[in-house]
Amino acid sequence: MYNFNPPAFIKSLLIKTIVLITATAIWLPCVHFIFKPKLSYYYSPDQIPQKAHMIAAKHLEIWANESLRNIELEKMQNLNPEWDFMSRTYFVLALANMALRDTAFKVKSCEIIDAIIDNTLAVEKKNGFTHFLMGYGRRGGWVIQPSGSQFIDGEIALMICARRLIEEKPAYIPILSERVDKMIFRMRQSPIQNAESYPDECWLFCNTVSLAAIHIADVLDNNGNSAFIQQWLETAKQKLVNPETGLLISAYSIDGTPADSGYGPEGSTIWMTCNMLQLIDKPFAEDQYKRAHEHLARSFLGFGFSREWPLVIEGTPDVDSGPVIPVLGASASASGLALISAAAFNDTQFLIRLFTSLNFVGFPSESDSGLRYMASNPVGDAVMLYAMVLGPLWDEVERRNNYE
Amino acid sequence: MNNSKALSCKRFVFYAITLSVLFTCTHMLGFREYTSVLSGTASFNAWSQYCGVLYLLLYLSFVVIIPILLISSIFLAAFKRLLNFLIYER
Repeated sequence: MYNFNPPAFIKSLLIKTIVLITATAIWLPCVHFIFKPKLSYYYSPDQIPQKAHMIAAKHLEIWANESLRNIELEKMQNLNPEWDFMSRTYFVLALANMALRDTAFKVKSCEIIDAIIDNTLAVEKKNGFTHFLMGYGRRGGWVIQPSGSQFIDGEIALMICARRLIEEKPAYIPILSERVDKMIFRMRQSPIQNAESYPDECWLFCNTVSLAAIHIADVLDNNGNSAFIQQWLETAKQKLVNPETGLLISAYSIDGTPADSGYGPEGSTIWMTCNMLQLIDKPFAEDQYKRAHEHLARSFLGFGFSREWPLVIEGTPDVDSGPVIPVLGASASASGLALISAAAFNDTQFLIRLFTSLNFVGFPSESDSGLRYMASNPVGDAVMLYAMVLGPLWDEVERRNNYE
Repeated sequence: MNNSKALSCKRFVFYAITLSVLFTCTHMLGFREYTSVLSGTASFNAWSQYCGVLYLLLYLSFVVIIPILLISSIFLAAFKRLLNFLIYER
């Protein structure tokens, strides 16, 4: 018969608890060493990193094979039409950077980029711009006329810009010109020079992508829109900055009133915005990056991540933030997009920590066909790919700008 | 006090082995594919999402908890030997 002996039981429990706490204190700070990557596999200032080749291989396979492409695009479209669209943009940006890094990649890049742009334009023409928007984009209520989405126009323009920076394609000149004129016409109707991405909902993300495209179009075609860009920047600094953090807010109506969907700064917006601002106002971009780093970048036991919202702002998880880990406030999409900014601002310490987290909870899966992250999806993989190779495209814009 | 029972490391090792076996099973069954539940991008049905969450929990156990259990069991075994040495050998 079991003889319960309270003092012995308590002593045993105490010893085991102390041992478990000691073991935890030893092990937890060591876990990140297992996942810490060799940075050169993921990020290199002048070459295409090994892992980027592997991720690109998977995407190239999708875009080179029509039936596979249709399956993947349909899957993405069913999940979230925005992701279908954004995976195209990030992949095009990544391919353009890869082509500029390695000329051997140029022909293949241009082929795939053309396929992506042509397919996107064809889908937009056939189904309308709302095809790539979430449901509430189809309900009408657009304030600025003619109706349109800055999300769609900006990213299509940026894709075309990227293609033309690798190698000129005359057929795209009028398409880009028309798109830029449309964006500026719509932006000018807003007192804060921001056009809607969704009905009466302007997004900083989309407007800064559009500004980057307008700037590149200026460099390519001498459109003379630099005064407009300056005006946008001045207005944004006055009216779109959150007073508590100094960071730009994410979503607002066309008069600048913060929208419920993004009334404060958000990780899923600001990291990409910093990268876009780099092209049009470097000091402002650096200031925003430093502030974003202060309020959103976090490190825990050697793992880096980004919060979706600064501590001083209360937010609710949505489709942009993805699931947010309680207490830490870590967001998968904000952390993914933080890779872009960390790479763009050469913040290698933060970058290593983010890649460490990616290896830990991204569930990388390598096969003959390439590398994909099981916890991600094509848009997430395209974001990571872009973060691994970005740089040369912006350098090329600057080179041409200085030359002119 | 029965030191051998208080400092038994067998239970920790048993937990570690059990969790390892469970994790290996889910891994072999391909549950890793369902971890896209983590980023909120899962297109799977509810059952697949449970599989994703289960894999995630067992994976975290494998990486974080199992090593702690094993380190603890080593400490307990060492402590037990030290006590035995102090009591019986001296």
